[in-house]
Amino acid sequence: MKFLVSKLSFSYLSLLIIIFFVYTFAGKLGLSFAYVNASASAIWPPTGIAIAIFLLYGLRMWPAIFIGAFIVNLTTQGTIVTSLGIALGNTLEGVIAYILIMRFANGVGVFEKVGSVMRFSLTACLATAVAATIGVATLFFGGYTHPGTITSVWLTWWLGDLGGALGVTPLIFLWLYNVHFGINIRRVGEFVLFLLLVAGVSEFVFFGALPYPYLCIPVLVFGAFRFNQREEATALFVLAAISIWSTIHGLGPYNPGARDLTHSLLLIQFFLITSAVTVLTITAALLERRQTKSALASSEERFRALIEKSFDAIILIDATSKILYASPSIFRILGYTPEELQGTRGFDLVIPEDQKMTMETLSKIVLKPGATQTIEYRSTKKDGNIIWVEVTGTNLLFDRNVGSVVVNFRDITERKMSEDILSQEKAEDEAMLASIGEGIMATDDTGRISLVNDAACEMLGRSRKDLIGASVVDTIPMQDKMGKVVPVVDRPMTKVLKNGKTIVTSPDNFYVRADKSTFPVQFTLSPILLKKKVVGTVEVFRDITQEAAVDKAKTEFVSLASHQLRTPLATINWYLERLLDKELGTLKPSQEKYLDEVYHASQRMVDLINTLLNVSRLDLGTFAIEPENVSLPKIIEDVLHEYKREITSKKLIVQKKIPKTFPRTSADPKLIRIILQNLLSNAIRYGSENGKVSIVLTHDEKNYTIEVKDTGIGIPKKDHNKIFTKMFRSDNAKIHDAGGNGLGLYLVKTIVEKTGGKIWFASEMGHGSTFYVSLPLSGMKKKIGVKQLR
Amino acid sequence: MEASKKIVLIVEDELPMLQVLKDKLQESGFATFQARDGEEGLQLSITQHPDVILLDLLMPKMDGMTMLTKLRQDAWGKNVPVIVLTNVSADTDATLKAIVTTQPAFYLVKSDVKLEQVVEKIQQVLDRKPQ
Repeated sequence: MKFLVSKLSFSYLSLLIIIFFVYTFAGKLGLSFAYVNASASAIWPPTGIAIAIFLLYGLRMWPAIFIGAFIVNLTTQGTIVTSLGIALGNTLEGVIAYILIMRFANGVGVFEKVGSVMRFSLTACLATAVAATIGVATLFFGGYTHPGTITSVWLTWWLGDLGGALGVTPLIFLWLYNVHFGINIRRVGEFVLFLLLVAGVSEFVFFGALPYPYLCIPVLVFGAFRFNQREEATALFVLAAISIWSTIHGLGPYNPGARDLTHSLLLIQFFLITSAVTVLTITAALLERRQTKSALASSEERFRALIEKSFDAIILIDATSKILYASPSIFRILGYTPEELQGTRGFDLVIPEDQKMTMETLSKIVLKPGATQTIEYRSTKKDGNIIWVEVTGTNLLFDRNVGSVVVNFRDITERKMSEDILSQEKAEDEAMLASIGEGIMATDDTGRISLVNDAACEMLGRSRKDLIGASVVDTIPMQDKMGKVVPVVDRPMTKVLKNGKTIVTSPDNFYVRADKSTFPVQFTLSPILLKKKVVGTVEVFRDITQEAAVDKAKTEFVSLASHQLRTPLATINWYLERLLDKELGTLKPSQEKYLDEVYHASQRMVDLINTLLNVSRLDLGTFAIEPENVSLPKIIEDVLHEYKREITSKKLIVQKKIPKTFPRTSADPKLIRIILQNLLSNAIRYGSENGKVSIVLTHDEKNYTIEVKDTGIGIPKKDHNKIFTKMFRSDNAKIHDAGGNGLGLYLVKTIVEKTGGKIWFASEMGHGSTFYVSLPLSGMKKKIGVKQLR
Repeated sequence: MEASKKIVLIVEDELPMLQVLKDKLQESGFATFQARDGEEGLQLSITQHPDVILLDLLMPKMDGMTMLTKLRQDAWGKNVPVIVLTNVSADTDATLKAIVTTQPAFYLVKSDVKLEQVVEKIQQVLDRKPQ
């Protein structure tokens, strides 16, 4: 078995040898008191050594015990066989004691509890009886004892072993088990004094001065209140040593003068065994009590610390709110010390407005054992300031340990303030949202409305109740200009949810109200993005009926005004034409030059009016696209020809890069002309004297691109995004030429985009600009419209 | 008035315009009548049977489109070439519809054409017309 043997390590062997010598020495010492039989002594400490050693180091120490016992006996009397028998008994005694202690007597904690000390005593009786029986039997069969003395030999043996077990086991075990080296001088001093007292009393008793052995008991019991088992075991040992020594030397109450020494020693042994059991039991009992007390004390201390150091204050009140206890934290919160509050009414700390509520809450709690409620109210501090507190009350009135309502008291002023600010801000936000003139509508990621403001409800002619939770595309139909319902797939909502990109008003959309009436709507529909995922949309929209009407009136006005302006201009032009044609006679060169200027100014006026008209048509969306089979190079040549005069006067060099063969395409020649006229006239207008203007025409499989480049003033970077805006002119353009109207590029862009093309440009201040127009080779789509652009 | 000269009826309320048109056309070898409003123009057309009519639209008493519509109801008038010469763009639905039904040969905007071009157009119309 594993625990019976051990690897022959150095430390194990050394331990074995040490134990062997100690055991042998103790054995020899014990046998020196053997009077009834050379092998049976009334004083036998080795039993205690064996049990202690097994408890300390385990059963693997058996060889030291066995060999020790064998050697002691072999050198005393008898043969190898009897010595082996006795050694077996001695070893078995320790083993049995060890097994029983480990099993039934709390193991290594054997001396800590009253019950285990009792069991230890019984175990010792049993184990030593085994050793005595085997030992005496061996002696008997070896012929070393007479049948007549068997009883006294057995009794001596047994009591000697029992004394050793009860006296020596605790001494050795307790001193060697779990040794701490921390030395407390005071404790050591006390212990030494105690031992001296024990020794003194023992000597007093056993050297005959006052021969009453029970006098020793109170001293040892007194020690049990101050010391632990270890010290008590030592005291017992001192008592044993002195009493045995004195008795052997014929002194003391058990002095052998009257009887034989063995008998005296047995009496001593009885006395010592009784003392040992008594003292060990009392010590264990006191130790147990001390441990329980300290455990209780430490747990109470912990709870007290918890309550007192808790950031929140703990208050105990009775059913009438009388304060029974307040933890020190209350001072930090209210400015009152716990003592000041004790006995006062808790409600007095509540501001009058909140008292009713707190009283109601307390009465609710009080009615139900174990009930808990949390409330927030305002409390008055000692300095008169009012703070917000959060209070949790628990009814423990019926709990015998508490017998009160336990109140957890916390200052929440700061949180309350920020909550107030937040709710104020939220209310402001809501009021703002409600007051906004624009309709605001937010949806979730399925296009269901989660929020609408008043303006939105009013515009749509629906109640908020109807709208919240409803799907935008189902509930609010959208129509185009012609009154056709926009299908769901084409709805901006569908696109925004799908693409996650903001859509800003696509013109000519109408929302249908609940009563089927419609209104033109302008909106910005944006995705709500969370971690790059569309989680909803928010739409800001407005009824543009007014704007649309105003816009239309404006456009019509421009149109009418243009007509009226044309008449005098046409008259001027025709008369000038006649003069310049010299049909009425020759003009002086200077006259002709002047008239020429007048004619061109007048022409510019005509251009301006026509442009204005075109813009108004585009704005109304009523212009027509009439594609024809055209030759782009031809149109470019024609337009260039129209500007010959301006090109010549500005000494511009025109570079054309136009393919000799270019596919004919389907396009509205008027629109192409307007595009070219504007780009070219800009290039000339803003080109530099002696500069270059180039026109490049290219195409790929899908599109053709017209590129018009100048070396003029360029467009300031800051104006790049505004250049296509109606009536916009950049500062440098205004300085360079006051004559522009800011409509050309707007017109071009609108036409290009309406005919399925794209326009872009590159420009650098002082280095000129290049405009690119790309249109589909497949041609423009025909668009029926009332008006043509000219 | 020489018999070989083609006759152009100019219907125009603006006197300066009427004047310069008359001068130009006569210089270009046409004979002209002038009318100052639609009523007069209609009456002159039916009585004088000009070869071409230059017609303004915005006029007092009777506007050009009404006159043209009435003219088209006339047996002679339904085929006579008419050139609309106006400052009104063909913007409104009514105008466009009228153009479709009354079939003017050209629709010219005064400010956009030179006198020379007006003459060219008259010439074109006359060339097209079977003699």
